[in-house]
Parts: sequence; C-alpha cells; structure tokens
Amino acid sequence: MSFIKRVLKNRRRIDLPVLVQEMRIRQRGIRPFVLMFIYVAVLSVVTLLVAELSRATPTFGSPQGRHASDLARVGQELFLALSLAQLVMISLIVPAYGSAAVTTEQERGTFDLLALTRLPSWRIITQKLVAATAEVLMLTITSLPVLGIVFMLGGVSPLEVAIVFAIMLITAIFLGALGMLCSCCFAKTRSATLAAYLSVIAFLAGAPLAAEWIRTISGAGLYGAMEACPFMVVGTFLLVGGIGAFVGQGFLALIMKRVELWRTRAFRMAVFGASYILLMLMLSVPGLTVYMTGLFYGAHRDISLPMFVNPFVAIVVFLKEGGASSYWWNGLAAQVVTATVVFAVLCTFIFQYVSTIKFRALRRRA
Amino acid sequence: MLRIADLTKQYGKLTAVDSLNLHLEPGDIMGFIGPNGAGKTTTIKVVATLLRPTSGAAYVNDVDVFLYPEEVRPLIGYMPDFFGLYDDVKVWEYLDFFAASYFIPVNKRKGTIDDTLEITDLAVKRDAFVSELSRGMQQRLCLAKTILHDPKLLLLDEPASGLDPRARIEIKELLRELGNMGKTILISSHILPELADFCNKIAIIEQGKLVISGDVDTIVARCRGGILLKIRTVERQEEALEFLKKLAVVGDARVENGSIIATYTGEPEEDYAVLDALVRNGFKIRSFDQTGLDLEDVFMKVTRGIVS
Repeated sequence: MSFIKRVLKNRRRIDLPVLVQEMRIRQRGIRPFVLMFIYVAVLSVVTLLVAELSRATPTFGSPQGRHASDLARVGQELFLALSLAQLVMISLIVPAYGSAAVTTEQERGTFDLLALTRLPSWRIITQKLVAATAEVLMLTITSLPVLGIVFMLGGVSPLEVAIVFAIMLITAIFLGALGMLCSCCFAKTRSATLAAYLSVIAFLAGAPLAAEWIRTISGAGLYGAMEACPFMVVGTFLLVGGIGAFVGQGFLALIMKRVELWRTRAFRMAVFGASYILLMLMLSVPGLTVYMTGLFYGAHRDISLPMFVNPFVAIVVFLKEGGASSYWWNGLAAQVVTATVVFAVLCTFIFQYVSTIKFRALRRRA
Repeated sequence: MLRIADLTKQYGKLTAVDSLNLHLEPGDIMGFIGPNGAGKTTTIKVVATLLRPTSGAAYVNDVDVFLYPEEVRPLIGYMPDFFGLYDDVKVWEYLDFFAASYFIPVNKRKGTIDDTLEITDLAVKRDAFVSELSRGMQQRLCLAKTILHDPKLLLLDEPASGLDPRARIEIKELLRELGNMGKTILISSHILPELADFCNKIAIIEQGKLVISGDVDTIVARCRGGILLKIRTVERQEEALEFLKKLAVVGDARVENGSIIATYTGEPEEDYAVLDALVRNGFKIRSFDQTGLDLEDVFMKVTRGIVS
C-alpha cells in the first residue's frame, strides 16, 4: 500500500500532459469507433476468405474428413493472413497519425502556445509518439476476438502470438517515429503525410525490390549486368550515391549544427556534392562494389539486407520457418526477427532524436 | 522588467522591426500602438522567445530571451493575435493541460484553474467544450491560459480584435483588473481608444521604427501643444467665439457639435481665467471643461509626419 501511496503522491513525476491531451482529442467523437469497425471488418473479411480458400484447396482435409492437424494448418494460415493484414493496416494508419502530430498544431495555431510551455521538446515528441501508437495498441486489442477463431482451430501457440504482436507494435512505433520526423520537417500536414507514406513504401517495398535486383546483378557478375542494361546500372549508381550522400549529409548536420560555416547554403551544397562524387568514385571501383555486395549477401545468398529488417518478411519467416517448433530460436527466423526488431528500435531512437532537434528549432524559429 | 535594446528583425529584404528600444518597469501597462504591419507582432514574438532577432536583444528581468528561453518562458504569458484552440476538449481540460505543461503541482492545479476561471468570468463554462464557446469567451479562455502560471509579464497581441462591443468591454475590464493585480503588461493594438484608459505608457511604432514612447501624459502634452477647452454657451455662440479668438491665451477656436473647442496655450492651472473673462463680458456659460486625453489625435499627429 505504501508503494501505491508514494506513486500517488509523486504523480507529478509521471505527469504526461501531452499524451493525456492527445488522447482526449483523438478518442472523442465517432471517429475511433468507425476506425475500430473498419479494422475489425477487414480482419473478418480476411478470415472468411482464408476459410473459403481452405475449403477449396485440396491440400487441406482428405476425402475421409478433416483431421485435427489439418485444422491446425488452417489455423496457422489464418493467423499468418490476419497478422499480415493487421501489419498492412498499421503501416497505413500510423504514419498518417505520426505525420500529423506536429503539423496540425501549426495549422490549428496552437503551436506557439505549446512551444512556450516549460515542457522539454523530447517529452512533447515522445508523448505524441506514444499517443499515435497507443491507438494501434487499442486496435490490436480489438482484433483479439477475431484471433479467437485461430485459437479455436489450434496450431498457433500463445508465444507465437505474443512475438508477432510484439513485432507489430515495434513496427508501429517505428513507423510512427518516421511519421513524426516527417511532421517536424514539413510545414503542412499534407506534404508531411505524403513524405511519410513515400518513405514507408520505399522502406517496406522499394528497398527490398531494389536489393533483390542488385542481388541478381551481383549474382550474374557486375560486368555482365553492365553489358545487359548499362543504363539501369548507371541509374542505380546515381541513385545509391545520391541517397548515400543525403544520409551522410544528415549525420554531418547533427555534428556540425553549431558550426557557423554550416549555416551557409553554399557550403552545405558543396559538402553534398563532394560526398556524392566521393561515393560515386568508391562505387565505380569494381572490386570494391563486388566486395561490398558480397559482404551484404555472402552470408545469406537467399535473402537480401532490406528483407532482413522488413517486418512482413519477419512475420512470414517466423511463422513459416520457426512455426511451433521449440527450436525456432536457432534458425533463420530468429535472425530475421532479431534484425527487424533491433533495426526498428534503433531507427526509432534516431528518428526521435532528430525529431526532437527539429522540434526544438521550430520552437524558436530562426 | 522588460528591456528591448536595438532590436532588429529582417525577413529577407523587408525590415519588420528597425532598432527598436523599449523599457518597462514592473507594474507598467504599455500600449503598443501602430497600424497593421508596423512590426508589433514581430516584436512581441521576439520577446516571447518565438523568433530569433536579426540583431539586438530583449531582456526580461535582465535575462536575454534569445539565449535563455527556458528561463524566460515561466515569467511571460503570451497571448497571440491568432490563436488556435483544441476542439473536443473541455474548458477545464484545456487549462489543465497548460497547468501541467507549466509544471503547476497536481495538488494546486484544481485551485489555480478555478481561480483563473473566476477571474476571467468563465466559471460557469467549466465543463463546456471549447468549440462551443463564443468568440469573446474563447478570447477570455486564451487569456485565462495566459495568466494560469502567474507570469510577471503579459504580452498580449491584439487581445480585443474581432470582438463585438460587449465582449470588448469585458476584455477591457479584465485587463484593468490584471493591471490592478500588479502585472507588467505589454498590449498591442491598432485601435487607440481601446488602450487609452488603462495604459500608463504608450509606444507608437510605424514601419518597424519606434516613433515615440513614454508616459501617456507626457506624450499627450508634448504633442498637443496646448489643452483643449470645451465650452458651451446658452446663447450668442458666434460672439463668444470671436471673443475667445481675441484672447492672448487662446490659440485657435472653432465650433464642433454645438460646442466651442478652443486651444488653450497658457498655464494649465490658470485656465479658469478664460471662464472668468467670458463671464465678465456677459456671456452665459452652460459648461466649461478640459476635454479628455485624446490619443487618437496624438497618434494622427505623430504618425502623419512619417508617412508624408
């Protein structure tokens, strides 16, 4: 009891004004109910589809009737489908919420009032991120009744459900942080949301596809690819160089933001150009490129790097490879899940850090 | 309390504020007057730590607002000219959010919110949604938010703009009350009569430059070049006018709305001599008075020079 009393007494320490405020604004009105309804409706449709398909597919069930193991396989298929459907919806919802977090304050005209409070920027940003992802937590909880069907069919262990839910939540936080970063970088909600969606598509679909393509090149040998379609190779090089220089620019900006020279536009452009040229030179050394691609794909010839950190791939590989086996931790599934989670957490921290810096700058516009 | 030293803010080639100097003692209520686009909002935003000045500085309690915004923010209450409100939030929730954001301890929060609602006359609307309030009430709510954390310096940017006359008077009463509470207030407006009765200092700004600043009385006296006398006669108004024009201490006299308005250039305490002279010469006088402070005249007089 004394512990509870102490917590109640020190409530100020766990005061979360922005979170409480965001929750009040978000949860009032009919919108959350509509969202929940759509969410559960989509999951129900997916369930019905899987049930239909399993009846039509001859692999499930034999002419003599269905066995428990067949039902378990349907359960596994269903759980996979539901998890992917949920992940798709999360990837659609969270970036929008995150990217609206700061820009709506500006558009509504409440930004100045918020900026003048004594709350440190990192607390505002973190609480806004928690508010954006809390809604996803609520949605995943509303999906539990639908998942009840999976448990009824069997074939999925509670541990698997827990791990898949953990991957989904971490992905939600990661994508929310990505949206938040966009929100801090753009003035208008529309452009921030667009940027957030483009980044999400690039991360979830673009990067894996591009990586697969590069892997194909590296498999056939660089010069073979050069002969087959030189424009594609040159284009890829230009793109990779540009992205690399851009990312490097971002990191440099973090270190150099206090240096006066960095504030001049010409200097920043020069640094960007120089790093671009440097990257192009590095990429044009054939031995180095082959070595780098080999480094990326040498260990896992069958799965490319962006695939490794993709939550969709993680869930599929985990449920397919690991499955119910108690030794899943030793396989590829463990590696993919770990890589995905670590990458998401790391990126979340980086995004939050940059968002905080951006937000702090917004609070005292130069 | 507030010191603005050589403050300059440029947006590209446009100079919004041009080496502005202002000084406010604790307890001062300064009317910050200028036409739209004169640089009032820019100045207030710099003081409110929201804008980086191009050069110069502003100090609140001798703390540089740009270098130490975290220390200044608890001391100031800023009410922007265009403010947004969170919809779907109740009045007390709105204030509770800001109370928490200004680190008012939980056990004092309810009392503080209730007191503030009492001052701003919104206590009955405690549980109403913010979006349901009238414009005047929303303005008062924003003012309530501004004084919630008991700031020493209030920066009010056009607090009465866009209000109907009744709401305007209510806001004025509220501001007067805040002045009585001993707060230092910098209040901007482009409408002069709004400020005339409760400011003790005024600063007039035009095109980013400070035209004049100081005590209201001093400025009025300096600009007017004399005291205006308003005289109503029972009869023979034309003759009285002619008589007044001949007096040495009267500069100019004219008839306005049935009264004679005469500019008195003599000693302020000896204006009764004019009345005396009128009565002695057989004029029947119904009323004789010095007209009140007219900041509007001052404003026109001071700013005309710059424009032409």
